[in-house]
Order: sequence, then C-alpha cells, then structure tokens
Amino acid sequence: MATQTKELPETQDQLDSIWQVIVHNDPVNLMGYVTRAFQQVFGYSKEKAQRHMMEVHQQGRSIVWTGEREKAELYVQQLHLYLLLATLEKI
Amino acid sequence: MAASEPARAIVLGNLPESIVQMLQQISTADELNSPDAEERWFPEPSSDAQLVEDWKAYVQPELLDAFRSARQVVESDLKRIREEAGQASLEIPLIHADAWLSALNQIRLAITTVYQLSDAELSREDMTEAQTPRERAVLRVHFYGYLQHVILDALED
Repeated sequence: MATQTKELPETQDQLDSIWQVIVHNDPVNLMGYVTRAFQQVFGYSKEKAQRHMMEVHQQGRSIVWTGEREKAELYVQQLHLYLLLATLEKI
Repeated sequence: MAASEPARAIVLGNLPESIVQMLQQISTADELNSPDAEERWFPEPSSDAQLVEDWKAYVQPELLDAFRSARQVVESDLKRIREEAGQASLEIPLIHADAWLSALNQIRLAITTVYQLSDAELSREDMTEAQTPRERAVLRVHFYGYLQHVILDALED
C-alpha cells in the first residue's frame, strides 16, 4: 500500500493561518462544468473532481482545498472566474 | 439542428432561425445588463468585511474584464455564422471552448437570476411549447445548457 506524507502545521501561528476553500451548490451550473472547473483550477484527477462535485450537489457544499490564505484567495478568484459560488473561511 | 465534432472544432449545422436568434442572444441579451445578474456573477468571497471590500476593488474588475472578453470571443464566432441554401451553420473552434463555456454560464445565470426561476422550472423537460416570456427563459437556459454539454463532450474526446 502506498503511503502518503502530509505536512502538519507546527506552530499555533501556522494553525491560525489555515483557510478552507468551499464551493456551494448552485442548481444552474452543470455537473460536467463544475467537474471541469475543479480539474482546471486545482489540477485534480477527474475522479477527485467528480467526488467534490457530487458532494456539492448532494450536501450543498464541499471543502475543495485547505491551506494558506494567499493561495486560498487565488483559488476562490479562479473559481469565481468559472462563476462558481466559492468562499474562503478560516479554520 | 445537427451537431458534428471534427478534430479542432464543433460544427452546428442546419440551424433554424429561432436557434440562430438564441445564439446571438448569448452576448446581446438584456439580462446580461441586469444588476441582479451582476450580483450573481460576483458572489462575496467571505464574511470578512475587509476582504469583501478589497475583493470588490481589485478582483471584481478583473473578473468583469474576463467575462466580457469571453463574450467578445463568442460574438466574433457568431459573426461567422454561414448561410448556404437557406441553412445556417456555425463553427466553434475548440480553442474557444472555455470562452464559450463561460459566456454560456454567464447568460444561464443571468436569465435564472432575472426571472428568479425555481428548481422545479429548471427541471422541466417538455419545453416544446414555450409561450410566455418565462417559459421562453426556461427554454433558453436549457438550450444554452445543451450547448455546454456539447462543448464539454467535445473537450473529452
């Protein structure tokens, strides 16, 4: 089984600066269009992009990315370029 | 209307006048100038007031420029609609696919917002007899969604 290594935040400061990018459901956007947006913006595989798309569709929202604020803002901007309802929230 | 997809372009052929009109409206529809539509195109990115203020000042103008340039690409393609023997056809270069997807999403969101179309209306399948402006709005949202499907399928190939 392949192992995955994740870098964990080491300090409280780093924890304080972790943000989430959230995409909210919109009945107008087509499923295939949302999947393509996730692939293009985050470089996700089709399978991963579809998982997030289905989460948005079925649960109303999906946390699509977590990390530092500057990058989160950039991702939200790119998602808005696709006209998706995306927000960023501090954890 | 028949759609065929050569390697580098999507060709929509045998287009009746009603479809040509709907295509032209992608970049010219009144709904595109509605403040309600703009509100939907520019959702607030956060509950943080300062971030929202900065977003409106710096990010929204860039997004607006991008949306406009996508519509301009579509408009330039639409100017090349060809009519031969009473049949219209349109070629969408695949290199323009993202501009088309954006412009189609802009108009779909604008129509839905302006008419405040419900989920039930958007799910309606039999739209062959669209009589009222509201029914025609639903028909247009469906047609533009169909075009998005065609473009997404072509990108998959």
